[in-house]
Amino acid sequence: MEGKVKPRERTLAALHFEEPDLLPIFELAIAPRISKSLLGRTPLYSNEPLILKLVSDGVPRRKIEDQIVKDVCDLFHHRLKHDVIAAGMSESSAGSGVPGMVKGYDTFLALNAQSVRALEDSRWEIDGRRFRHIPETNLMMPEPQIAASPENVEEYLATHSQSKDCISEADLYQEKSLIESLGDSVAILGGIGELGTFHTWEINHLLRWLYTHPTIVRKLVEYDAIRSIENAKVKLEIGIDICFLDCDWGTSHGPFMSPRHFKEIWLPALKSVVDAVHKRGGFVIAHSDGDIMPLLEDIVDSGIDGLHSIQASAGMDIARIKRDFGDRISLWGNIDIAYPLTLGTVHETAEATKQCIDAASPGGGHVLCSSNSISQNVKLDNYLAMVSTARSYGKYPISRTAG
Amino acid sequence: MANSLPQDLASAVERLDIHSVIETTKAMLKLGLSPNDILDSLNRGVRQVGEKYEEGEYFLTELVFAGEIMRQAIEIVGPHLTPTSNSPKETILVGTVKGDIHDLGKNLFVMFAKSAGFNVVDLGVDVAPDVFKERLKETCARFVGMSALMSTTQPAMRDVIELLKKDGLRGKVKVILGGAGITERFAAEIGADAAVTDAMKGSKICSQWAQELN
Repeated sequence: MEGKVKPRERTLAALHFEEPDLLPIFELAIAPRISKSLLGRTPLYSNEPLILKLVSDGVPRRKIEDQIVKDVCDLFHHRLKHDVIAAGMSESSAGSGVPGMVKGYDTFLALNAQSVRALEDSRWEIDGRRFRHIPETNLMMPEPQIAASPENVEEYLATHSQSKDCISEADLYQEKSLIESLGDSVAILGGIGELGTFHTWEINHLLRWLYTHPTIVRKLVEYDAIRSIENAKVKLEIGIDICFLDCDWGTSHGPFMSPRHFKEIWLPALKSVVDAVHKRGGFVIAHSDGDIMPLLEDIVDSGIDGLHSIQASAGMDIARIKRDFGDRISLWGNIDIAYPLTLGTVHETAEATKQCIDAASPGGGHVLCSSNSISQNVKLDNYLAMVSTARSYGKYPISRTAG
Repeated sequence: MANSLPQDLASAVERLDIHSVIETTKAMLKLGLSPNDILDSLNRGVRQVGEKYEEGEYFLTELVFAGEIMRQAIEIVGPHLTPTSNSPKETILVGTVKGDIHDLGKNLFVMFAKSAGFNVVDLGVDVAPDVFKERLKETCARFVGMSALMSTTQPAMRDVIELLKKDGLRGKVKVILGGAGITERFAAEIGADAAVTDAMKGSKICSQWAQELN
């Protein structure tokens, strides 16, 4: 359904807590199995095994990236008509190389490498380092795994300037191509880094060190923040609208860390990133799965512009968050990946989407998406039901429901 | 003073006072108190830490640190432990399933299960279904715990259960699933016996099963 307003303007209205014509729609990523059905061809977008193979076969990088950009345009803009599009998560490939602290890398390593060689059994040699690709999680695990210690982390941080671990404009080919292709018609969101991304970091160490070596944790988080700020500067300069900060502070039972630790260590770092982005006219959307309610007041106080993913199955109540913080942060979510998108029906998905819209959309400040990204187990029909319901039901003005 | 030391030790674990835990453990050994009783006090403290987590006073950080405290304390008392007639209730086989490298929840479950008196065989991460099957045969465990954090790796839990069924092992074990996105609905769908999203609850369920079996 086409609205009266350009998708980019629609998104900016949401970020400014204004009501646009239609509820904006976004999705962080879509797995190849789903995008293949939607595109009618095998995509390169998000298809790390295929990208690895093509790079190792000597296919020029630019050719691969051109196809990725085409896939993204065809999928998110032409097919799904999303209002916000995520443009390359290239910051992952630039770091962090903190020894033993990264269990698995996103596979953007291949596109930025000098040499890629296929080995046996899903293993790859990339610039002389060995990795094993895990298809279920799309991560590249370095082999052998180095045991992290406060000493080797301290040494790494002392000898690595953050600027060397950040992206440069040369790394932003996909982002620039997307901006050029889509002009100012859609809002472009770009990943700028992590602030304690627990699904890849060696979380066991990080959490233990909060008690045994708190200074090291503080230094790691500050390192992350500085990298994110430098990445944000470069991306905002080329024209992205929204900076996406991958945080992942929550489990299904509550935050990883106590509110006390969050306030002491993470909050100042988060605030520094937000301030730096705001100074340059950008917006910050912080992503976290899980239950982060005990931290939410502080997170909002940092000045972020929006919160993604608001995972309902972890107890994050979007209606409550709208009521308590809806005039201060935009809400990006929250149709649950597990249920209904993977385990539910089309009807249940449509109903959940309507409930989400009723709770979060009135008055603006809402961008509809799933509670993370569309993974390979999501039922295609359910996802399409979510999108079509958003378009048909998400027409402003949207009345507030009771309660 | 010797009388209060077991409680002092449990309390020190509960408040995460690693220095007091180490000193009290050493003091109790020096006084000739039973190493097995010392271990009981430590385990009691860990369970109290788990209760505080369930009540929302402690977070994962505190659980992980409690694990570190236990590790250091057991380094001291472990060499002195002797087999007792109060032998472990049951053996639990536990692992993170194939394709998944996350082990935080699994490690916490191992800590709580051990504190509850179980013998735990930890298979680590990225464990293939065959490995679950073979180790089950070797250990004769009656409980199997599988952990998966991501929706993309949860299907591997089904593969393990199907393999156990195929080999006639499924009826001999209780299967518990753990992980952030795990639901009872998913557990029922794939034929598991229970699903939990936190390690303490998982340990309690296994304790309940052990009581029912014995």
